[in-house]
Amino acid sequence: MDAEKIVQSIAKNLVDALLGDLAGKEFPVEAEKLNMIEQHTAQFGEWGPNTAMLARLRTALAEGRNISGADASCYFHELKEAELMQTGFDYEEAHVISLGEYNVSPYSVDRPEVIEAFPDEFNNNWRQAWRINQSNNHA
Amino acid sequence: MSSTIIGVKPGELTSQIITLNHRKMRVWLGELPPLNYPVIETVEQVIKTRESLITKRKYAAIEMFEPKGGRAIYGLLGAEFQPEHSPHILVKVAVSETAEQTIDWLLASRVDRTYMGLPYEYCHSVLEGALTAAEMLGSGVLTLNCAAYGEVGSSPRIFKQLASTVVKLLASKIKSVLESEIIAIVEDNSL
Repeated sequence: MDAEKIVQSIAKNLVDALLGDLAGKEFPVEAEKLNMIEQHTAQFGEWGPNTAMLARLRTALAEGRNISGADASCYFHELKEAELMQTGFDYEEAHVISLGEYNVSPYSVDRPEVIEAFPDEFNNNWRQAWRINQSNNHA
Repeated sequence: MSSTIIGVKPGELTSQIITLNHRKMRVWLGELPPLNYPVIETVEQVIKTRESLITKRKYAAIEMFEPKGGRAIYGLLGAEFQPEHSPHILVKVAVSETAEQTIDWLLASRVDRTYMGLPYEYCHSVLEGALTAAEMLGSGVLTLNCAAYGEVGSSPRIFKQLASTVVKLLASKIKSVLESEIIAIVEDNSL
């Protein structure tokens, strides 16, 4: 195995670690569940990264494409969080339980493209988790 | 002239948690939260301004916890302002060492690893936010040396917002955290 392939393998393992039980899997987007997610996130107000992630899910649904990676992590996290909050859990409890449901990292719920599109909304730990160049940040 | 509010518990006039929908804020006036940490560097800037109308040293801090779904935005920032007879204001931002011990009493502690201090990656956002409102204070020294952050939830944007908000709190004539004007200042300053 040459050096480039070794680096790619290490990078894939690091990303897989972020995605826990969702790593390497694909899932369909269901319209009813996506509506529930959009209603759930709307209660927190307009926020650019959420808008961008939900637009990706809406596009996948429209095109009949499966989702994976951070798209899947976002989809299942928001869905679980919405279900829990509807049954009386407060945000903090619902958020922590939802991350644990699929053993995902808290850094897994936004895609690298979204992190790069909103640099002031994410700290360097996010860039480090996704191996994104940190040169666009102050540090 | 000082005023007294009847029927409040000790500490209520200086520190108060405000909940707006799922957002939580905590404001300190006249004191800073107990966050003491080693400072490794100070980033500062001087700008010309008018003579301050404030006559004595003031303290204020604000902590914000903003759930967004997949993550919650978090930060805490406190500052002191010492008025001086001069034609400028000096804004100083204290940068901390990398924290190792978590703090468990902060608003984000249930969902994030929270630490005292201000990492270098946020110091320019704090300076930028403070400078946008610094002229409201007038001449003197503004020192931002009280902070806490979340490993996942903090961002340059929240620290810029906290910095301009804390300067507006210092510049206001609010004497009690029970005053509704605090919410107006915070809401007006939301980005």
